[in-house]
Amino acid sequence: MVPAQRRRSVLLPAVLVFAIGSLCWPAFVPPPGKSHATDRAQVTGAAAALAALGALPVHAVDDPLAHGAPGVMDSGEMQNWAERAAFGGLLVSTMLAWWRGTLGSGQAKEEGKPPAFWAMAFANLSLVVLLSNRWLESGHFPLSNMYESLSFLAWGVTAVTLYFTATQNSEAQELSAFDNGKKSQAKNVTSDIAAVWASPVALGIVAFAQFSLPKALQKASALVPALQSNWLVMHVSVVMCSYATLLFGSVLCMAVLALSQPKDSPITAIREALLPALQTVANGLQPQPQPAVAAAMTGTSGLDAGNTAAPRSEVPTQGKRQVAVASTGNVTVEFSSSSGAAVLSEDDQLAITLDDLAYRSLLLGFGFLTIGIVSGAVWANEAWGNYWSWDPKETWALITWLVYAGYLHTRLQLGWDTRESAKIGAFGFLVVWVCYIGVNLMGIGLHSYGFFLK
Amino acid sequence: MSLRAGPRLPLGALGAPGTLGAAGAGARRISAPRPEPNVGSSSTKVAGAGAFGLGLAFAFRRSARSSAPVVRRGTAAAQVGDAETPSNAIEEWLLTLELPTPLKPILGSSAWASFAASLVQMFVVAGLAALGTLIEQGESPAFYAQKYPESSGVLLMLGFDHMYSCPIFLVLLVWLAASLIACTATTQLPLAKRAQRFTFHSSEAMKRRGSFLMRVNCPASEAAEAAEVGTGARLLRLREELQRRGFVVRSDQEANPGQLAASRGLLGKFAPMAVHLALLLSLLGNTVGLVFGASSEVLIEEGGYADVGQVLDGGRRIKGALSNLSPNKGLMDATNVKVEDFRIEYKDDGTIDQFYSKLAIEDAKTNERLYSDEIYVNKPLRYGGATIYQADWGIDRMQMYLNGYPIVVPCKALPVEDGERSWAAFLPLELVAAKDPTTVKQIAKPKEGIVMVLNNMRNVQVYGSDKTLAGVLRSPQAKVEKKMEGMPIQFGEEISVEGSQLRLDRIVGSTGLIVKNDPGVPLVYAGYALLMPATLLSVLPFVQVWAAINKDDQTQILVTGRANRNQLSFEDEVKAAVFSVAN
Repeated sequence: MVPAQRRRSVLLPAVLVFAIGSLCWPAFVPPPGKSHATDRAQVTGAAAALAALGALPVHAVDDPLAHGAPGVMDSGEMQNWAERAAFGGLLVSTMLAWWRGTLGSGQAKEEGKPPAFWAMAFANLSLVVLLSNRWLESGHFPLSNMYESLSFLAWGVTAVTLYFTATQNSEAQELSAFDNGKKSQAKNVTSDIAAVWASPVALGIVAFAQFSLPKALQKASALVPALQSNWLVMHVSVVMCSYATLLFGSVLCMAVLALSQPKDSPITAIREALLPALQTVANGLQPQPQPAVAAAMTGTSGLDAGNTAAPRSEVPTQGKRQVAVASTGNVTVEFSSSSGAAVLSEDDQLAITLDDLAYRSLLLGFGFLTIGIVSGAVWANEAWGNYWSWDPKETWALITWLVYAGYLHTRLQLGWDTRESAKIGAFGFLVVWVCYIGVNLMGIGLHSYGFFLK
Repeated sequence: MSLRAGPRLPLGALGAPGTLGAAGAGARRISAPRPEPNVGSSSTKVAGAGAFGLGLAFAFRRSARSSAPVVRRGTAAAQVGDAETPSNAIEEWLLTLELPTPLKPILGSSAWASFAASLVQMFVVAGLAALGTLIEQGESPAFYAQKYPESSGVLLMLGFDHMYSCPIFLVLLVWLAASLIACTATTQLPLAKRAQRFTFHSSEAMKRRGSFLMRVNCPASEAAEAAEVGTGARLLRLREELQRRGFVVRSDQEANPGQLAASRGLLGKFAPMAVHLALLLSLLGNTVGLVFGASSEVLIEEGGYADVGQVLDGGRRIKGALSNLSPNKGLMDATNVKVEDFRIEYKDDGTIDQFYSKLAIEDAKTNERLYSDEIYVNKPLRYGGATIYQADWGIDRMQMYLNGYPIVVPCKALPVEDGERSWAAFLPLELVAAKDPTTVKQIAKPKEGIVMVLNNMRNVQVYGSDKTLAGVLRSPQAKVEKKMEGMPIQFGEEISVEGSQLRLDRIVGSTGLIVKNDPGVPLVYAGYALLMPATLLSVLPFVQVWAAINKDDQTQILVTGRANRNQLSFEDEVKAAVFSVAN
């Protein structure tokens, strides 16, 4: 079993990296005149991910598009390295998480953190290096333009993912004493799914910052008078943290929605059509396929059981209750749940745990957003002469706040079905992006410093 | 079972009751001497209920579940193990709080105060606010007619050209505030009051009240042999365990309990009310600002001054209907603001680093200097209720020497082109050409002369009478960033134009100030200060646990409980607590 495991963890990511790497080929296109063949050979090497990391900075040196004036200072070089490392780390993390979330999910029973976790941690550290390097270089907190704030956002998303994954894993270990490991496995799978959804978001943000932004906008720029304040650090960093946390929570809501698709929905149909094919591939590559866990991704029913505020009148009959019994010495403890937690299937456990994680991260993000809006209002009262002036950015922050307040109310007070709440949470993803980028794209308002060229 | 985890935080990321230790220690002093209120007689008390006006009838709303066998208000009586769990102090204090009597909903208020209705309101406000960012605000009717030929009529009729001050939006905000009040007074308050009560349940009731039921079976034989492992002793141990986990626990008998009732997270029941209160406070402050406040802008040249009260009366930005009643009105009328100095700091690349204005506040009658400070963007001056912000700038005049004779040349702003602002000055040719400008008494040809153009406070482009660039004058105050040698035109502090020597001594600017008086700011800030902790605290789950020795089977302890969120984690925690006692 051990050799098979090793083979799987090296060979399959390599193949996948090649497959998806060729899909995102434009991102890697070297400057004209370079031989594609040599690069391709490098990227498709056995340890493709690491090779890609090693090879990229090499042609970054003579890349005319590379930003940071070449040869001016070492920090430009450092910047390039950190940038590629962050991108590479997230790419690898996405690959590994997707692999694990679909076909390689048999590994979920392993001890310790999944490899995607470490790849993401690597990307996170690279972003820390990137941003602190910027800070040293420009002498002010690195949140003055689009590139820096996108990098900070990507850092935030990875940090939140790592944090919740780590706590989720430790909770899983704490709980493994109960339930024959059933719930702890749900927790582990939850953190896997979180990585599946959050990695591509972070990857997309980093890719957008590095490949789509005009190079002129990537340069560190001086602060305009209105930004020269200590409030910059306080306000912008808290707001970016809130965006990151809210985005993470919202993609988890999407995951809950995807997981709880009814049987007749097209998404389920596509998934069920694709899974056997993928499973065949997996069977060919790995000696011992685990079809049981693939089914964990297609959880369908029973989400209503996760509704914590279920009407109390619906007391289940005694016959429906399932009793879990544990004993220590002479004392026996019986546990029966009327909310159905004890009789939940594996899929429902998974969906509920996932929803719980989404809910917790959205709570945290909502708190951050509140602090961010308040600090922004106080700053505006110092700099612009009014604490609230219906500036588009302010307005959209308020809209975001209202949308998530709506989500929390449906959870806290209305006791909605998990799916219905998750829809609002998932909608929040869109609102956060409009608030963050959309307002600047419209080119209106007072918050447009250092963003798009006019 | 090897599960002996420490007190688990209900929320991994945010503070749990356990982290409130420091604050709790402070609250403890307040909670101690409170006498126990007489049970169940609070129906006549309307203390504090007057705060919730809104035409709702005052009436006591008895709990629907008042049939429980024993109802006990929380008391501050010392509990076993209380000393080791200081985090309980804050909850013990909350238990002793006498809440105002909830209001009875009238005229269908429960319908529009319901969460579903307020949710719809929130989304409508959010939608209109979003629409306001999509439609250009504050343009002329002709602009809308051109941009939205189909719908401009409807748009202007609804007032969407000034969305955030149009009647529809304001009415919605007022409505939202009203439902905040109604929700707090008719829905949240009874819930909080109910959470303050500890109720013991009969064994039968326990089987159906909670969201789960645990039965701890202690074999009878063993219980007879050693009393300390019997059900009574285990219940005592469960009480300690729950207290260790931050629960406030009440028991039917102190020494030998047969029934326990415990709760944790009362703060989480009170905080949502505080959130609503904070939002109302902010809205109130905003309204006060709109009604009593005023805000205006003024451009003052260096050395000039303006009357603060007069500037505010102009109200070019905001002028509240009752701004004359503002508490600081008298003081502001009696003061002038004088601009002693205005300068712009430039960066090496020529972009503006910061604007600085040295302001002095003087008594309007005696010109006595009362206060002075240098302001810049992000650092306003505050005096006597007025706040003065650095907001704009301009160029007022130039001090120059013409052939050694000092002259002052006024500047005039040119129309803005591509966001670039510029100023220009004109000197008649007769004056420039004269050896001694003081001898020129009359200008015969006012159309001929030299033109000077400025777009910053560092240098001036000088055009001769033939409309060609004669040279660039550099301000002595500007930093010399680069030696300009071999330039095709003259550059420096002194150039010669039309045969005369023109020397620039100083570019004198004018500073654009926003003067504001907003008596609502303290209220708004108080609301904000309350909002932040209350938002964070309102995520604390409120959980209740009941435990009792089964009446029908003395060897069995029944444990049940419920949580208003995080149900699964809560069940896990109670399991862990019970297992540690069962061990």
